[in-house]
Amino acid sequence: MLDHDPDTALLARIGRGDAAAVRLLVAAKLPRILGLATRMLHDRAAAEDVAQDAFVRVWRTAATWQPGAARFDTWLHTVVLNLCRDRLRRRPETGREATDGAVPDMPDPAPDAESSLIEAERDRTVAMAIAGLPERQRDAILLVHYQDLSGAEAAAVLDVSIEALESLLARGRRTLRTRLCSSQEDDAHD
Amino acid sequence: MTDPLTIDRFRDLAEAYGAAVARWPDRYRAPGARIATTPEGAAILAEAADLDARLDRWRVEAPGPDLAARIAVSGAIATRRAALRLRWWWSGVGIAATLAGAAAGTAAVAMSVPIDRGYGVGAATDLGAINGSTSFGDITGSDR
Repeated sequence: MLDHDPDTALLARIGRGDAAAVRLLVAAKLPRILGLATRMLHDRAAAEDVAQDAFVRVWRTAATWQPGAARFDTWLHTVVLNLCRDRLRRRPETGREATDGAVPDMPDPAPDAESSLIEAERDRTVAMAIAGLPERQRDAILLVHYQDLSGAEAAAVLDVSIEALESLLARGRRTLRTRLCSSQEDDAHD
Repeated sequence: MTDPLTIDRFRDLAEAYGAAVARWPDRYRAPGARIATTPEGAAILAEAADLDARLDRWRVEAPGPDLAARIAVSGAIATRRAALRLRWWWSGVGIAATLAGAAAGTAAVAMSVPIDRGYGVGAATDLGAINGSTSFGDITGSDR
């Protein structure tokens, strides 16, 4: 499984101080890192700080990276998840309020203002439903559905067995289905 | 060995990973794709796909070019410094190894040269031990 980590060669180049390899890694990983941090923190500025912190750890690690222990992408997700959890722990009271009340980042604005508002409201509904899940269910859904990690990789990041991961995912998705379907019915009644 | 994929397990997988069979663990993909073509399998996947579509509505703005540039510049500086430090360290090891080699070589030469003719590094002492004469004179007092 670990024999073909596509990032190993790039990390070796970065370890030799290759600036082009640095740019390639940033282009490949920054959108994924920022997506995870934004969805966890619901705060764009904080998510950007986390992304920068995560890359500082990457630069420190690149020269001594040992292929085989873990996939680099899995390790990077673990780093980002831990950085986000630290931030969430540091704001225990305001964190939950900010999460519940935050309007997620808007996609590119639609030409029509009304459709843009509807789209933003749908985003917000999904974001709030996921934010309301228990922490481990939320993390499992973010890693598998949004970060597109395999079950084995997500289980490694969360330090659980595959069976436990599947249980977290299934329970999380069941709750989301209930919440999102009921919110859609509410919208239909309005 | 491949586990047989029952319809119950198929449902569990769809409930956990969603409707995209490509996201399922490797060993279930091929049998999963086969069950997906059955009416029961298709109905299970349709339900999972509905939730997937709802979740996909939550999109996140891509990083701006400024952030990417800032991270890339700091990364280029940090990794260049780290690479230089590593090279410096290895050159230090090289110098140390050279010096150690030179010292070892000197010691080896010293030990391998015959001492009974008095040409070796320890010759004076050894000769002194034999007849009491050194380059400072006869330490046994025989020239008094």
